[in-house]
Amino acid sequence: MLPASVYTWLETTKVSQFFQSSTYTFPVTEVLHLIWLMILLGATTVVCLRLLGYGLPQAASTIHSGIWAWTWIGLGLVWGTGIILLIAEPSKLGANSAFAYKLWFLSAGLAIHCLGYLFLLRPGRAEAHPVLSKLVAVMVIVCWFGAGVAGRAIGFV
Amino acid sequence: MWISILQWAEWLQNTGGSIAIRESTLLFPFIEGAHVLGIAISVGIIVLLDVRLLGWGLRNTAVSDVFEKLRPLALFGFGLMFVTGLLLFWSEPVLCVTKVSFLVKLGLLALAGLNALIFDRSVYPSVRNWNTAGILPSRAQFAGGASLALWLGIIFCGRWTAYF
Repeated sequence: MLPASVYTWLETTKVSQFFQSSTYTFPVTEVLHLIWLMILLGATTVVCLRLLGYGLPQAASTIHSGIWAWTWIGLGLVWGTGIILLIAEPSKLGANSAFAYKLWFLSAGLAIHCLGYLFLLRPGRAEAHPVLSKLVAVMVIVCWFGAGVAGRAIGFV
Repeated sequence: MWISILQWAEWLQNTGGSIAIRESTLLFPFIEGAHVLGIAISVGIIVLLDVRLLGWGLRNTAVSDVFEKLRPLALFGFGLMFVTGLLLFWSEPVLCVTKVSFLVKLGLLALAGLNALIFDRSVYPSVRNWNTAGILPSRAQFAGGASLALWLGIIFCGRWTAYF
């Protein structure tokens, strides 16, 4: 998804070399990446279930207003820790096909989150667009869970 | 006792099922992927239940709604995580029982189960008295905080097992 020259350049930066020489930076960051992904998944799954007509009985906008901070913190820290992981192992990740899938899932997830998900979570919108709500909910779930599974597949490809 | 556990793990590692999972190109990654999916579903939802108990989110939603509507999904994820976790353990039992982080993970899992049981039996039955409160009784908050800390510890130890 990114040009090979970006990974090669990243590898030569001082910050990447520092991360590469550190024993604990990668594992600690990966654990934090996983934890924030779980929190993001939990917060979005509950809202998506409502958009699909299941789960909590309140409107999707009301549910989202109760957990919006967790969604944004999760999203920000998943990307933040993900960037640190990329800087720590640029060449390995750049050559990994599962990482490419993960990037696609993450980028698509972020785009749908900003363009569709947040649009539908304003009061009354989800109820006014039931078909679009279901479509967006399925796409959000596929993208975030797909990113998680693709992320785990990086170790096997 | 330790020797007998290690001997049992060595015997288990030499069974046909263990060898089949370990040596399969697709089976191990498939089970591992399903394990991650199970963790994502169960822990993602459990964290939200804990957030509600702690008063850190979903304050406009009744506690009984959060638990009754979302717990079945958390249990489904836990079931998937548990079954796939057993299969992963079966594939590499010696490695698992000789890793401190794995043993700590098992201990934390037992404590998380105990915490959930105590909450279910002694705190949740009085939910009608504090169902819609923003700030919940201290026992409910303690159960939520303990659950959150234990599950984050379980994830930490689970991933750490792959490294050290």
